[in-house]
Amino acid sequence: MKRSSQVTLTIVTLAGLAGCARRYDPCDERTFDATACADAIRGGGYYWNGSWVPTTYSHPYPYYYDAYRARVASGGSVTAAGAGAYARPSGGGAAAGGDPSHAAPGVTRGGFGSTGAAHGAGE
Amino acid sequence: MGLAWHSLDQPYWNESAFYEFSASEVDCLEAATNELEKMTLAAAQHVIDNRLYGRMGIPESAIPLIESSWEAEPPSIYGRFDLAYDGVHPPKLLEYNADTPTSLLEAAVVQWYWLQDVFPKRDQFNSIHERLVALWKELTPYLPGCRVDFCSLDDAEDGMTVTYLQDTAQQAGLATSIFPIHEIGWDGQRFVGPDNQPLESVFKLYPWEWMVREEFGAHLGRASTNWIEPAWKMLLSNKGILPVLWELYPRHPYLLEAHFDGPGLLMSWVRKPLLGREGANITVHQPGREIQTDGDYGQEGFIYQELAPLAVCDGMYSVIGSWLIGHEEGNSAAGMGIRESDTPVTGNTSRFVPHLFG
Repeated sequence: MKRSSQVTLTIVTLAGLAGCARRYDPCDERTFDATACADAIRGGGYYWNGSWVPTTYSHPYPYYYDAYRARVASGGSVTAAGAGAYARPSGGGAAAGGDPSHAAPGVTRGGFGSTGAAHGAGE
Repeated sequence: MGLAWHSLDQPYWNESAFYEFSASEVDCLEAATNELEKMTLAAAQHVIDNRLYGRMGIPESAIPLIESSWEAEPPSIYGRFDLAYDGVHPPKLLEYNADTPTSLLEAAVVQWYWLQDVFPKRDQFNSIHERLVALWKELTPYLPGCRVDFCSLDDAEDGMTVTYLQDTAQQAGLATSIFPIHEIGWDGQRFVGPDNQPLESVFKLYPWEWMVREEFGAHLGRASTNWIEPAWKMLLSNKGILPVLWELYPRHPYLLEAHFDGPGLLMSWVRKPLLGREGANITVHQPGREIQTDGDYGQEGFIYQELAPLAVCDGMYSVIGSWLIGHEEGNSAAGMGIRESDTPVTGNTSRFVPHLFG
C-alpha cells in the first residue's frame, strides 16, 4: 500500500489503550487497516480479538481508503489495532473467509468457460 | 522469455525479418493511438447516451453492468488498436481489441530482447512493460487487500498472456494468484476462487459477451467482484463501435468508412461479425473478387467497413497492433507489435515480426 512519505503517520498501538476496551473498525478512517478493511467488506464483518462483528459497509473499498488518506494528509492521527486483533480464530468455521452465518451450503463451479471451450478467448 | 506459443503450422515468432520505422512515423502512430483512444471513449459515451445496445447485439442483461462500470470507473489496464499503416498515409483503425487482447508478451518483452541482442544501439516503440508495472502500482489503492487474481481459459496462448500480466502485477507489489476460469465458483452470494476465498479484483482474459451469456452471467450484477477489464469495454471490443465512430467523426483521417446496415456505396469492403474474433467469418469484397473465412460467429449481426489498404512488404500483409496502457488522456499509447500474414485477413497464426526505429 502506498503512503505519502511527506506525511507523519501517528501510530498508537492498541496496547496503550487496552484499558479502554474499545473496538476498532478496520474501515474507520481513524483506525484504518487496509487488509482487514478489504476482508471486512468482502465478508460482511470482521473478527475482533476472536469475536465476529457483523458489519455492513455501504461503500466499496476505495471510499474508505480515500477517507483514510484524506485524514492522514490533513495531519490526522490513525490508531492501529494490535497484531492479530483482526485474525480469524483457529477452527472458526467460516466457509469462505467471512461471517459464519454467510457460509454457503455449497459452491458451484464451471459457470464460466463453456463458450471458450470451442474458441480461443484472446484476440 | 516465456513465449510458450511459438509455432503451429508455421513459425509464429518470425525474426527472419523486421520492420524499420522513422522517428516521425513512430510519432505519427503514437499520436493516432492517443487520438483514437479519446474518440473511442467519446463513442462509448455516445452508445450509452443513445442506448445503441440493440444495434450492437448487446443483450439487455449486460446493460446495467456496462452502465454501472462506466460510472464507477473501476480499474482498466490495457487495449490494442489494430491499425493499417503504410508509412505514407495516416494510420487507419481496423478494430479495437479492448477487452481481451493477446500477443502482449511478444510486444512487451520478446521483441525488446530481440532488439537488445541484435540491434542494441537502435530504439523501439515499446514501454509496455514499464507502463504496466507502473499502472498496477497506481491502481494498488483501489485493489482491496492489494491483491488481484488472474484467470483465463486453460489454453497456451491465453495462459501466456495472463501469466505475463500476473508477473507485472507482482513486480508492482501486488499479491496474486492464477487459475483457469472454469474454476471460479459461486457460493450463493459471491464469486470465489479455487480456495473458496471471495474474489474481489479479478483480471479475466475472457470476453464479456461470453461471460454475460454463460451460467454465471446471471450473478454478475449481484456480486461485488471488480472485473478487469471492466464491463464497459464490451462496447469498444464490439465491431459496432466502428460505424458509431464513423457517424461521430465522419471522414476522420484515422477512420475507415463503416456502416451497420450494408456496404452502401463502398466498392471494396470488409464484412465483420459484431462479436467476431481472430479473423473468423470475415468477408473481404472487391469488384470481381471475394474472400471468406470460416467460423461460427455472425448470428449477432455484422458491420461493413471500407477495405483498408494494408501495407504489403515482400508479399506479406502487415497490421500494427498499437498498445494502450491505462486511460490517461493523451498518454495511453505505450508501444506496438506487428503481425503479418500472406492474406489480407489477420488470424491467430499470423506471424509476429519485431520492429525498430532510430
